[in-house]
Amino acid sequence: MSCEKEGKTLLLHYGELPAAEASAARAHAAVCPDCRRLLEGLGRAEAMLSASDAPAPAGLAAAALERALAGSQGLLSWLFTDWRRAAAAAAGVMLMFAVFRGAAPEPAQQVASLEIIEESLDNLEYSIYQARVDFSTREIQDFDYKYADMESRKESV
Amino acid sequence: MLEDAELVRAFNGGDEAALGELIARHRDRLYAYLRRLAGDDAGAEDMFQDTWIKVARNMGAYREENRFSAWLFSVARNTAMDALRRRRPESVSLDAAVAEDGRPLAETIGSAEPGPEASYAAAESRRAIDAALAELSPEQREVFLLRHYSGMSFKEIADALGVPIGTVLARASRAAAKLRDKLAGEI
Repeated sequence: MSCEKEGKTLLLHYGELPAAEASAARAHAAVCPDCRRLLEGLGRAEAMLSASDAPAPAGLAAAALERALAGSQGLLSWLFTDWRRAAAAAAGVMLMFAVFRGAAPEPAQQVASLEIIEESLDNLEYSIYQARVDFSTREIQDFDYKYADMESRKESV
Repeated sequence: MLEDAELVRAFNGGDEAALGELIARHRDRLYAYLRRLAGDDAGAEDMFQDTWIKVARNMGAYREENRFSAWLFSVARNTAMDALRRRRPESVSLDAAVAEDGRPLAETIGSAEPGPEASYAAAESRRAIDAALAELSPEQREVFLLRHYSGMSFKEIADALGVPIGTVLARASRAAAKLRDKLAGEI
């Protein structure tokens, strides 16, 4: 059975408890077997993560910068910064042209439409993220840890 | 040293070098986070680049009242989830994958690709922690990794995931308990 103060112990471990609450939480964790085991598990896992993480490969940051700058200038730039994408895009345009010749808009118009769709999707994705942030900020004042834990257990069952 | 938000402002004002500085600052932690999600180097590198493309495209929409690192890791997390969903059916998840010898794939990762520079101890750590992480539910793993790598507070994680902070704390404590059990005796 877990301790009902595990939430506080977690916040203590990650330095998120106000100073006024930290000393009491620290004192509790020192004598509570459940909370001590919780801290032990966190410490061990974090040490092993840090010990086995490799740095980012050389050149990755530069490549990301180049692609990000090209990508921020529009879909056309993004398409043609990689030969495989460029070839795929060219093949796609040719195929669409062959299939819809006579009825479809010019390839340049098709690419422009793709650009608009891509931009709309980006905007929509970001709007969803912001809506989530706004919604949770407004609705969650001080959610009771124990209640949420019970909900989680219920879901597991 | 300029704050992240100042670099964002500089980039939005046309200073491309500011983006390079942001990438350099967050490079290793972001890559390590994505490497854990992707399960392989190639996937992590694609996710890393795609994340920065999205960040650059949407930089104008970044709100300074949020920490940049929290926003960055939220974008990275969404990018990774999209990429994992797009993976081909035969590209199974770490949870279910089984190697030829019948062992869980997560247990073989360290020994399969330690890299020339990786020490034996690091490879062993990776094997053990990957196997332990594979035992967590996706939700528990997500919270634990986000908290470890991004430095986001539990409240910021709750906001990013759209769930109550109590749920986030419950997931984190369950993750810690499972990891303790799985990693007992590893150090």
